[in-house]
Amino acid sequence: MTTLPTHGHSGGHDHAHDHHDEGSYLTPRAGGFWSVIWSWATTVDHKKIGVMYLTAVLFMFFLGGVAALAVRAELWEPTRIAADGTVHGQMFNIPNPGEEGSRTSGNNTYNRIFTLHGVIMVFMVIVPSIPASLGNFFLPIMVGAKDVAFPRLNLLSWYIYVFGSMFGIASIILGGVDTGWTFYTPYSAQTDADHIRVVFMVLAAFILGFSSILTGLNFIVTVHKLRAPGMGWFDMPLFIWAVYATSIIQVLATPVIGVTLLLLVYERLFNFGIFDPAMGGDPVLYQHFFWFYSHPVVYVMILPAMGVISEMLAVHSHKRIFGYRAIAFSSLGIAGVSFIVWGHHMFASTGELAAAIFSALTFLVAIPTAIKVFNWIATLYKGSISINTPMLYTLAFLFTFSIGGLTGLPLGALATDLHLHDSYFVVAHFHYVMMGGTIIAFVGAIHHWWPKMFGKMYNEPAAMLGCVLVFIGFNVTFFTQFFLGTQGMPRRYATYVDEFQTLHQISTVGSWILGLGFLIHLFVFLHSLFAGKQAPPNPWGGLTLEWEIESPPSEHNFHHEPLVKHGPYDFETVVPPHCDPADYPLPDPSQLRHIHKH
Amino acid sequence: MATINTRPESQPLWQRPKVAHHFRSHDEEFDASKLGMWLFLATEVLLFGGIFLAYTIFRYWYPEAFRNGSGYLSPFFGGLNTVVLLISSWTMAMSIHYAQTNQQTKLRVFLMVTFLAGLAFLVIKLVFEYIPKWSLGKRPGIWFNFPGASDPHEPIWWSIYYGATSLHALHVIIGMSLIFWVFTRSLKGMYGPKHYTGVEVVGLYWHLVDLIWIFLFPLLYLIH
Amino acid sequence: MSITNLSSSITSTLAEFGLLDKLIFRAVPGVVEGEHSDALFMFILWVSVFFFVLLMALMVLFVIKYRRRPGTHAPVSAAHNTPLEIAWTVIPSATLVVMFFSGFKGYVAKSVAPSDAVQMHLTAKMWNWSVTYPNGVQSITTTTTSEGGPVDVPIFYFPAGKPVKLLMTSQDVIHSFWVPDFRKKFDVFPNRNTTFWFQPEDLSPEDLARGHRDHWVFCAEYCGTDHSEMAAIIRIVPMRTFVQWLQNAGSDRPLPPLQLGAALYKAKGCASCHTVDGSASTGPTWKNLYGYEQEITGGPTVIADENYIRESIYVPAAKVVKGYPNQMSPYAGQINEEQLAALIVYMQSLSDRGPKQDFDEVSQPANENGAEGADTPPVSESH
Ligand code: HEA
Ligand code: HEA
Ligand code: CUA
Ligand SMILES: [Cu+2]
Repeated sequence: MTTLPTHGHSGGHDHAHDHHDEGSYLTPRAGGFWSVIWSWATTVDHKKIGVMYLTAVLFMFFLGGVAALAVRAELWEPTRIAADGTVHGQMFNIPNPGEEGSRTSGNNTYNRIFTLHGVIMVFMVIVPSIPASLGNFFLPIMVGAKDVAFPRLNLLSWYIYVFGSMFGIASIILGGVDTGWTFYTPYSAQTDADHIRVVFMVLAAFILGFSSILTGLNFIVTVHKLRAPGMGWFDMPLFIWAVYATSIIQVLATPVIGVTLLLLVYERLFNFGIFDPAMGGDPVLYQHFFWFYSHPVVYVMILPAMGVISEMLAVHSHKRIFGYRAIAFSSLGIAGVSFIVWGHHMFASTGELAAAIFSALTFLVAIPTAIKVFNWIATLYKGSISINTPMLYTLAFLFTFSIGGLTGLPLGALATDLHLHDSYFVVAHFHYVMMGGTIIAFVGAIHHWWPKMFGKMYNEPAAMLGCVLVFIGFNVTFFTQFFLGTQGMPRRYATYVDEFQTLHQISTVGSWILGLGFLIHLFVFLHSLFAGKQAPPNPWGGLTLEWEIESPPSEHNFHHEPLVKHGPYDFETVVPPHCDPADYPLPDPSQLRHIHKH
Repeated sequence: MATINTRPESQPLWQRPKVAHHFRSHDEEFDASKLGMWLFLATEVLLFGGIFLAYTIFRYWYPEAFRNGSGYLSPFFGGLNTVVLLISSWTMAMSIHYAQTNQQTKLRVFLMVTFLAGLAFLVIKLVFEYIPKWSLGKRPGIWFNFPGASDPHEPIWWSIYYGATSLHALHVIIGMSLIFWVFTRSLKGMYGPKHYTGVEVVGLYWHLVDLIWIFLFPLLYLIH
Repeated sequence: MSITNLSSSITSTLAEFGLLDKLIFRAVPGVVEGEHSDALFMFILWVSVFFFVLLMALMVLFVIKYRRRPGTHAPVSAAHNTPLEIAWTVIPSATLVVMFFSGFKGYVAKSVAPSDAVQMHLTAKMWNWSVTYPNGVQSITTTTTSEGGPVDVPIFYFPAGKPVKLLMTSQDVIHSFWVPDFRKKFDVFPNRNTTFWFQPEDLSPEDLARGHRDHWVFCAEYCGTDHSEMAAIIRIVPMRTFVQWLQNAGSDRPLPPLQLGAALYKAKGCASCHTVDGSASTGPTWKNLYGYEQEITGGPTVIADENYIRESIYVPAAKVVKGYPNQMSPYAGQINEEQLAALIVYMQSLSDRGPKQDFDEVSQPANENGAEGADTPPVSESH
């Protein structure tokens, strides 16, 4: 890597201004409304595809969030079904045809809602969230390419995503599915036996898997083949490392869930019996298959979040990231070990030997994550830290994700997991890592890159208010659930014993605050799109390639092939492109001697 | 940078290739496509890996059922299909060779032969294996209705057999469609020396389909 | 693994069940291993609190101290510090090692029943639990009140201080037997046996005044519509109350499992191929079959446990004992779960490795209405 102590940026920037008349990727070519729609629907531009993913994912997040609010509302009251059949304190009761008057059809409704919530959030929101939307938009730019390696394949994966989601929505319209997002056999093979909707839901997950395989494959090839001249592996921004590691997991793990779900479809449609104990099949085999995918997939969810956190942390504290290589390698380490810990979801169903091995490996995978957290905190040390929405979200992430990760430890320890398994403690754990980790990083990263993507600034104070509400609401909602879990509240319960009501009500109130916070964000985004101030090319003083081009970028990203002359975090030696050196003064070069290269 | 296309219209298509704008050169595009296909093949291997794993586990649990089950299969037709696929792999490799050496007619002929071999595979599978077995009641899971069964777990064996071979057959069909697509492009003269990405990549896929069968055949038909 | 060891090491930490403990665990653990896992939980909690507070304090400190001052550059600092990085890798890892070993130790304590545990059968089905006691009595349902009105739940009586081992099986889908106060759960599968053991702590003076102590049982594996209604109550009572309850519970009760098993042995034709006295016949003798290693034709050696017996009855060809012909016809569909359980109990009684089948006190004339005690099955001689 060459580090030039001067204003060394890529070749692209010097010419950026000559080309403004070319218009951005958002500028419609010509024609009316329908031709604009058509140009989006058939685009192979990774940026437009990224924006389409972003829209779809946020829409799905909204649906999943509404389901979550419904779950919380139902849990406001314990709901008892008395001996005489009367039902007390139930919110929702949408009976299936033929089931009217059944005393527990309300339970059925609840089971469908939380399944819906889990399936949407996992398969349609969090897995595609950061990689498919922000990754699609920024990965090519950040490696200095004009597009991903296979643009048409990229568009195809978007359509597959939409197609798969439609299957999911169809199954909801047909009456919903009550299997839980894990589709455990034999229950999932026999519930609603005469109805197609469960098959639809399983197929939806299967199809969505294809979409994520194709995206991952595209990214791997892009990183390998399309890096700009001068960008060695260790000159890549950490976001790229994270997405690269994610893509490897996606490509290697998703096929296994593919074949598992396919066998489940066989099971339901043709009664194959492979997972059916009555026929000599084995339901635990299903669990092994399922978690062989679904554990690695939790790192598919978190690694890209860790990537954007590294970016935001470095840019908004204007400081070289601490331990670049440690962070990069720990991504790969997490990706590798993640394949061999799946058994920790089955401590209450497997034998001792397997349990011991999986427990040990689970603790092993916690170490690279711990390293990252320490590195991030060390990055703040002696930084020059701006407080804005992306940074607030980054700090919120460090807070909530640490809690989420640390509560994974009692789950990984065998003796305690026998108590905590399938309780609200697990629910709280995974919301702290998925919502408090990934979603919070995602929302922060949307703010971080919003000016670049749409060329508009957002209203900073309002967004910060949204962030604070989300943070408070989130903790109120889910911190209480740790206590619910340790006290003995099982998950997936439509009704519960009276002892737990107070904690449940606090949690429900939290979910309203959370919803309010997101609503504010929604307005902030809409306001920015329609009335936002024009964004400069580099509002935060970042050094990676996306900050060297216009906001929003032109259709081909760069006007000339960029030549990378400095590392992504060389804040001590490089004035950020398009920025006033007076705002970002450089330290005296003599002070730099003792800086280790990463 | 994209190669600017200055060659006259009279030249065959493959000599005036359009390199996608984001690739620097045709070689880079070729490498990228190959890497992409290799990764995709890795996913396919893992997909079948799940099936092989299920096979191994159930074979370990129910050795008797699997012994009986594979005894019902015909090594002759299985072997015949193996030969058919091996030949098709060879013809596929040859078509790449003919593309490289600019022998357009042979390229097309060999692509067609590969396609037909795939078809032959499916026909043999369907007519001589699936249909007779199914009509005898040797069916998967709940459909199982074979009076001669001596082990209660034979339905599971048939589930694995039908599951694995139908998934493989699906891959044969996908492979054939790809070959047909390449064939129509070859009619337009799109492939030639140094410009045969499509043939190469589809060839890789076809070899994998073949390879999976090479594993399925002994596991299902030969090991008793 | 000695349980007493485990408990003595941690009773001190549990001497006081403070406010925090109450917030976290709601109630003291009802079994000794629960105390161990609570202590482990608290250990993990305090390690986590330590690192969390440390990191968050530093984070807040840095954000305030190094906030951006426009026009000045950040103070220069290293991007790398090997000793520091080694420290923050090794120290957390060391605590993880402790968590792992302690967790494993507690897991073994929770899952391996002591040899003097009395065996009973637990059946799960959508959406109900039931326990079959050694004398054939089935658990009953009771009505408890909650804010919403009276609710029916099954109630299981167990004597205080006595180890019990539940042999669990499900009639439909997977369930999970969770007793939060015992800090433990295990999944219950169809077509397979799993176990859950516990030794309820003695009753406290308050419990004795009330006459009993109750613990909730919840189903922890999602099993459909009424998953959340699948609760039960474990009622711990003094031995004397238990014995009385057991004997008054069912007057028209079915045969106790052991006697049912012995009857089935003749009725189902097992006797024509299997002896119970160790002599040779067409099939292996049942004498000392249970719990012993069996060599299998063309396969690895197996221990003849509940699941092996289940398989050998339902699917005899699966694992044939070496030296015997594969000619038994499968009994799947002819012997139901209850009968299977009874046959297993019978085989266990024929083996010196079988579990304990009833409480010693039950057969002792400690109770007044001893006349009924006579038809309880004999206790296996082994203990
Ligand atoms: C983003 C997703 C994500 C992430 C990143 C994680 C991370 C971890 N998870 Fe989690 N997990 C889920 C999503 C995730 N999980 C989901 C969805 C489920 C439930 C699925 C279901 O059943 O529906 C689940 C369930 C689950 C279980 C099964 C529980 C049960 O059902 O019984 C277990 C058990 O071991 C576990 C453990 C862990 C561990 C040890 C980590 C570790 O990787 C965490 C590492 C992080 C840290 C340790 C914190 C940061 C470090 C420090 C602050 C420094 C100090 C560190 C030390 C002292 C070590 N998780
Ligand atoms: C990414 C994953 C994800 C996310 C983000 C969430 C978010 C939330 N989840 Fe959960 N949840 C799961 C994944 C997730 N969840 C999974 C996998 C399960 C298990 C399912 C199963 O057991 O099968 C589960 C289960 C689960 C349960 C347990 C149900 C049970 O076991 O009985 C509960 C209960 O409280 C719950 C609550 C919530 C709440 C209140 C939120 C809130 O955070 C939601 C907040 C969001 C909103 C309120 C939407 C507002 C949006 C807008 C206004 C649009 C604008 C948006 C922008 C522009 C940014 N979820
Ligand atoms: Cu039974 Cu849940
Ligand atoms: Cu996991």
